[in-house]
Amino acid sequence: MLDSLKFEILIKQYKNNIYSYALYMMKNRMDADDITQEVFIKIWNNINNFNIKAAKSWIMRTTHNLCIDYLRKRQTSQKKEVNIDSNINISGAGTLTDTEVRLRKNLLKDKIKHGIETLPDNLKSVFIMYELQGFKYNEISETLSMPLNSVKVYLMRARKKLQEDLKEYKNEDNL
Amino acid sequence: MKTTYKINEEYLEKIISVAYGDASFIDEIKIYLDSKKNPEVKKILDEYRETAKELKFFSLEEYRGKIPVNKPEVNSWLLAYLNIFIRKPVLAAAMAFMITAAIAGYYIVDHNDNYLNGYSKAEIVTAERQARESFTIVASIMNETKQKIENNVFRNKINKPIKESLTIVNTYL
Repeated sequence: MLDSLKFEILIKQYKNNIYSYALYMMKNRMDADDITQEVFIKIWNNINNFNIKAAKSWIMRTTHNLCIDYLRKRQTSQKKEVNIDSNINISGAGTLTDTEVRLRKNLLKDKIKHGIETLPDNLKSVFIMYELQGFKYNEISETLSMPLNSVKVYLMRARKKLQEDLKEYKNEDNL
Repeated sequence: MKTTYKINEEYLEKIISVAYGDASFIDEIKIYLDSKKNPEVKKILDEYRETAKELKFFSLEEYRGKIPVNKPEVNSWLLAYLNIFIRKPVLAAAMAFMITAAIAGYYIVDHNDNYLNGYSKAEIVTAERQARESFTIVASIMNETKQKIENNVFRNKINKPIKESLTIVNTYL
């Protein structure tokens, strides 16, 4: 019973972290769902060996590794992925009460989201963990088995790449 | 004369760190002051800041799928109770400390009036009464003694013989 309780607590705490990470890495909900469920199964199978303090890095490392495996399989099968989330979501679109400010904000948000999705995988992992999931440098270093300096370098590169992509969008908008 | 300002990679990284809020305090001050003097620095800083600010509002995607492992139903109150002790041991320790302090405080305050230098209130009252009784006894003894001295000792044992002696002396003289 204690195992079940431990499992439930871990799932409740980390399910959104796992899913969000998988979604950004895989860029579609179906694969993100599959990966999330696989992580849950791995957690359950290892529930007796769990050290609660190290749970976070273990879970995210498992998620990251599964995402990399899926991406490699995808590359070898050369499927053309359809990004279900690529549609720009404009809140209140079509209503008469939308303001220009809200519209611009939503556009920027979607552009940033797309920019994150198009980052190279190694930069994307670090960026998502740091900026979106609130991991610290040493936690990312432990999770991705990466030196601390590499984490900082990758994060900086990701920020620059993202900003360059946003500039391109702005230039396209101005055309 | 137009001056050009070249921003090298290292300086750009400092601007980015300031925009994202993880720069050192000194770098923050330096970049802030430079942005006031240099429009190029201000432009870059504002661009990165806008992106960083937008990222702060990004929330995690919520997972709404199924959890594929069968598990027994658990009462939510029990789960919430255990959740505190497993996930937040600091919170549990703080709660235990507060409860202990409250109980200890109650006993200290409640019994403080009854204890003085290791004696209970009842003991002090009894001792006071006994002391008063003792003083009363001593006082009555002293009164009796005084009366005895006045009435018996001085009158009979001292004054009377002196009086008789003086009478004899008077007679002979």
